[in-house]
Amino acid sequence: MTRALCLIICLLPLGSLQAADDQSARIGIRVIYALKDEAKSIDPALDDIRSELSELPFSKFRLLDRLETSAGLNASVELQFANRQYIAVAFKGIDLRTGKRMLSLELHLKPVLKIELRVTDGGRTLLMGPPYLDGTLIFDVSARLEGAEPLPAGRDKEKDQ
Amino acid sequence: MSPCENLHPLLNRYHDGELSRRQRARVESHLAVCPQCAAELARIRELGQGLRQFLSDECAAVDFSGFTERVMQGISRQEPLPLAARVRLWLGEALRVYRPVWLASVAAATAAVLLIALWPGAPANGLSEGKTPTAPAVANGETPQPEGPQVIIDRMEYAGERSMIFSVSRNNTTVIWLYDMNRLPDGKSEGDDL
Repeated sequence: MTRALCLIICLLPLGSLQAADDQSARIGIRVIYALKDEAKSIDPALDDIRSELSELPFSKFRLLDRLETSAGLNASVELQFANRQYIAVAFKGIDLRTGKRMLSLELHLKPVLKIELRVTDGGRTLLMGPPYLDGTLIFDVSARLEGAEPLPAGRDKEKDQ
Repeated sequence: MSPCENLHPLLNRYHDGELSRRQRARVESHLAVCPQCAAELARIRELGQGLRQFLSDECAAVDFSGFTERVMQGISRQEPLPLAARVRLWLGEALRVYRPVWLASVAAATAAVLLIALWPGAPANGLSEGKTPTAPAVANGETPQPEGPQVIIDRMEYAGERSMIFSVSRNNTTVIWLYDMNRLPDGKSEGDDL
């Protein structure tokens, strides 16, 4: 019994280690042009995030570009936009330290921003700020694990709430 | 109208030294040739000297001894106003004199409250704002949900100074708003990478 406990205690730190090398994530990047205007309109291609966009301080949203692809461990997905700037999203692995499955990502809005974050599976990050024409660019970055088994005790269900 | 009639109203002011240089020269040139006006000026001077002498004599006869003490005794005998009366007086004065100031203050405060309350996408949980955070930050507020945070910021480097991170809706979405990015120097928008 004591040996089993010691073994468990020794193995606990391994829970925070990243997932195996064969893990991959589905990374999506959408470039959205947002504008403040009297008339409110959202591009039908953005219907899935209509409620999120409606909470931002803009009234018009139009999809400019999109990219969705699989990324293996430490692989990066890049999308170039205006003025030689581009956004890169790197999948850095799976993190289980919070007791639920989280994806470690590195967002790089070159050359002004670099951010390392962990998001829950299926999480979405809206990065807004770069000025573009009369409005602002918003980058919709989503990440979902591919082929992942659900965690026990319904740990993955909060994304559906 | 004769020159005497014109200058006569000016003689008193001439005597008191209230005329301009041009008026004074005009009066003096007339007085040199008009004995009637010169006599009138002499009469005004005598009257003024007599009045000064009378007042001087009257003042000399007054006894000012103990005057200061009597005034101070009268002041010290005055009871201060009750607190309620003083507050009422102060409020009345403040509301009356500073009316534009407090009206503008109330209007500004009301506008600020409305702006905060109605601002679309305003973070409800008071989230991280400001320079690039270096320590891990839970971006969905100070009171995480029982399920735990949906996003954790481990590290952030930003060339600007002002950013805001907040969660919107219940769909596992985090917004990172770089709201001074349009004011970054040219070298930062197209230049060196972080």
